[in-house]
Amino acid sequence: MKEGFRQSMSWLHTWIGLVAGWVLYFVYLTGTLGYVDKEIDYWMTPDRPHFAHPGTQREQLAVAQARLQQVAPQAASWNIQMIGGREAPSLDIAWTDAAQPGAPQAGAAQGGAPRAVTHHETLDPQTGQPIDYSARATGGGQVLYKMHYQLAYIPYDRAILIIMVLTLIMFAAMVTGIIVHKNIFKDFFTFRPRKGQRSWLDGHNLLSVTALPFHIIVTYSGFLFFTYQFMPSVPHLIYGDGRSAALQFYQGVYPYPQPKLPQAAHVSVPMPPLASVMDQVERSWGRDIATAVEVRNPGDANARVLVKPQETVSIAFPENMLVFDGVNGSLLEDFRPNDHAAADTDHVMKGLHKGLFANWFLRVLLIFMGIGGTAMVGTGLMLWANTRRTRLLAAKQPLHFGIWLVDRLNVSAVIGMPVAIAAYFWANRLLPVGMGTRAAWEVHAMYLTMAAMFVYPLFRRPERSRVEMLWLCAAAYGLLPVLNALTTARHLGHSLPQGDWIMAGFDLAALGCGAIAALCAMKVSRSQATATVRRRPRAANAELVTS
Amino acid sequence: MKTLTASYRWSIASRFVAAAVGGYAVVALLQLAFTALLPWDYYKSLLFSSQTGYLYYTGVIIWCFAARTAKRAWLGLAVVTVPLLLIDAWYLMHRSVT
Repeated sequence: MKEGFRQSMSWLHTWIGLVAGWVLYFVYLTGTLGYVDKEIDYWMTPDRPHFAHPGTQREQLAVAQARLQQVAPQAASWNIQMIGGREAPSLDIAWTDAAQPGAPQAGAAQGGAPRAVTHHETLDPQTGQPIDYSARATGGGQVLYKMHYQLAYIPYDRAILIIMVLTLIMFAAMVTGIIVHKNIFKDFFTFRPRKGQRSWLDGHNLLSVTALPFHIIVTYSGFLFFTYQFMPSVPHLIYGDGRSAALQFYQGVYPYPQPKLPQAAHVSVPMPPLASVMDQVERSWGRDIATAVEVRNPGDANARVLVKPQETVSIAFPENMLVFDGVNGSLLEDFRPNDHAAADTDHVMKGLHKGLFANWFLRVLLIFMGIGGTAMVGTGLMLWANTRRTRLLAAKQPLHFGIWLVDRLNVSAVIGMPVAIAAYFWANRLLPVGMGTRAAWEVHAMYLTMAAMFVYPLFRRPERSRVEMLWLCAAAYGLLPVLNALTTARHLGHSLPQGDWIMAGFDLAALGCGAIAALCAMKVSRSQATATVRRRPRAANAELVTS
Repeated sequence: MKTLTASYRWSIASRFVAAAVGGYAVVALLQLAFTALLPWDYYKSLLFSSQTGYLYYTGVIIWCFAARTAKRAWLGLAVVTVPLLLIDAWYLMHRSVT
């Protein structure tokens, strides 16, 4: 359609990038926060106690077992989550009552089979006593990162379809971007700062190429989560219509095999200490790999102890398990579900997307690459307007409405969306702790702020709103640790000496974000000031340098 | 900057429809064709074809905007979809007999 293949790909890259850019920016931003979802959860529930000295796994198991023996000797199952890894900041126990026929149980009123009731407690790992804390209702990091595929205020089915289409556009934008960018390895080392338009393009290329494998993997694997919803027609044709198609498909794809466990023998046998299985667990897996222990039929002759690894063990996170005899503590089965190759591929791709496998070092890298991707989309959006402005000004033509709008939407999205996310954190600390609709209002606060961030730039020149909103962003993040100190006792003065690294890490990261936003604000306002000075002699060209 | 003619705009619109609808059709038809041709369980063929489906879709998008004219874009789509349609139709008829 244009002169050549590369030119038409450049055209396609530019335009699909523009139409999808603002939402993709949001997706990259909230998706990146998903790499620290548990850490955000932790910061957003400051009521949850921190344990500086949780003791060894064996001590925790002993403490948990003593408590469970005391409150639920007759339970159908026990679950113990030891402190360790990202997913377990506290020692949590749960037990499920044996469903007794005849006995009135919750759920039995509906006429169905009596449903087993599960109870939860968080234990003090030192004393073994349950800790009574009421955590504030919050969406936490979970609601925040899930916005990267279920958005907000939109029915789930529709949201994932929107995201699927955007993911497709993202992927096409990457492939066309690679085609356009022919000197991919030469330009990799090229960054020419303070050259206006040229620097933005260099920056865009640098951000894209540095983490290219990451961008390709997260985009492509993102698609794999909802392939069935995106194209349900063929499975329906093959399996027949209705719910059974999805069911048959998913049962084939994810068989989720489980180890065979015996029914309760209803013969009481005293249980050995759970910690006794840990020697074998460490021989099989290594130290501190296991964090979850489940006991089926505790105190029964057919008791079984299931030990599960934490998510960091492997990319695909197979549901491996060690099955022990709950009476003599001997290892019965090293359970490794055997999947087929297609399911393995699926697990690995999704595992790469979620990044649960990453240790802290990889996690930091993932976050930087995620931020790089966010910036890649952001710089791409700004390039669209800048290129066109340059061209029109050079031809001495008036700027059209498209540039006017894109300039403003860019300020709204690129700076406003991070501000809106900060509002989510502010709401978590400022809304009354006992408020019923608290979690919902955290989200409302975020989107009300975002709406304001989209309206404000419509009434300001972008040169002004850009600087003002960057300062707002700097304040919104930079003051978060202050807000935390004013509203909770878990501020930096407490978290740092206590070694509460997650709480401290969030506060420090917020400070860092605030500092970066402040630096940007100063830099942008300075470069715009120089541009204004230069505008007098060369009115037209100065505009190029402006942004 | 040259002004955009109506025919240029129509060409873009036509390519857009070809890429979006044609791409979806190609992937769906391929999915059924894989199920027909691959000697695997249905769910494996379905999973394999959806795992790779994105690549074909992206290929179609690129083709539709790289072709010299919009007509050629559609023609290229037809070249791919017609054999796929034949395979799928044969498969569905064959399936209903057995």
